[in-house]
Amino acid sequence: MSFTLLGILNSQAAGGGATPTFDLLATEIMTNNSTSTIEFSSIPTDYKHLHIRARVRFANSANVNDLAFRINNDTGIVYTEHYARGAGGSISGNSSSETTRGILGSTSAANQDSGIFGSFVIDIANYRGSNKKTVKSWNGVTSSSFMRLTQHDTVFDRTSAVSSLQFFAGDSGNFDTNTRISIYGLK
Amino acid sequence: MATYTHIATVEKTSASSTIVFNNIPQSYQDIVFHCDMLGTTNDYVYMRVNGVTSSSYSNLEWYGNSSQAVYSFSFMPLAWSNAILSSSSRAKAVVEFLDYSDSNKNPNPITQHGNPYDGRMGGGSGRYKNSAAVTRVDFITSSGNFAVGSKIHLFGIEA
Repeated sequence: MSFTLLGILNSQAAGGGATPTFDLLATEIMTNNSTSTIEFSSIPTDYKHLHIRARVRFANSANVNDLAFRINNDTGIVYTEHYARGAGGSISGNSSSETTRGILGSTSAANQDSGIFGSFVIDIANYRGSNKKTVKSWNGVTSSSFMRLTQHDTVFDRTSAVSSLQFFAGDSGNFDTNTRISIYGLK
Repeated sequence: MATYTHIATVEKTSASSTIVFNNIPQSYQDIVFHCDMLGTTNDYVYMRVNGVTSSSYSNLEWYGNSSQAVYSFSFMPLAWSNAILSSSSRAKAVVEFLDYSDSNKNPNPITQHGNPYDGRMGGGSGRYKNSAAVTRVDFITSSGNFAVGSKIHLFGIEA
């Protein structure tokens, strides 16, 4: 599913930088479980930072899945990840070699109780600058038998502006009904 | 369209063991609490949803280089490994309830905190095992009180 961000949703004047701005750019809510990719395209270029908030669950038959992403639909080996993860009574951290996607954290899949959706708060600072981009995610999911709490930082090894974002399952699968992802612009 | 809106602030003008946000508006997508807290003693802080005191909560806490899980508790701790409140320096926490009024989802607050008592940073992921809309959130100390000047701000985010 793709959602193109219209200019009319971004009609607020710049205001000379005096007024802090936190604008909703778009929201996607799944009405069925047949979508494998949620895309936000034509992201406006007149903000400083992007902020994403999501409640996510996948429909594949498993207890857990990861929320993955790409920038500008770039499938190159350009994503380097560092993370710390709490799981039950232990905590671990690691980093990855460059790969073809970034990971934002862990969430529930179809084997969990129906009301279990992971929460994600994600920031992309200076998303249209000429430096490489860092995507920071804070994520948690909690059920009666399964818990994850993660922080992921992914470096996107390109200098191009972020003009689109694609979200999908790290371990394959469709988004479950009522998954919601919202994207905001900050000035 | 401005979408990060201040809803309410509770500031303690006398010491007590609770800070309560009741009748939370249901017109936002998410609510966020920004906590700036001082204790009358070194102390824990718990959360409850909708005034429910039964064993309806689970929580995973991450603190420093350890984590701890609790199941079927009667509250969700902001920090369970050690006291988060200090009587000498202010504890900070951000508590995010995404989709707090969505009847298809259990509330899953995710938190981040700085703990002046022992200098640790940490966070948590909780669950209230119910899909009722969140209309009330209580912050409760364990044995002491929130000191005068403790503040918690509530914001709403639209989507």
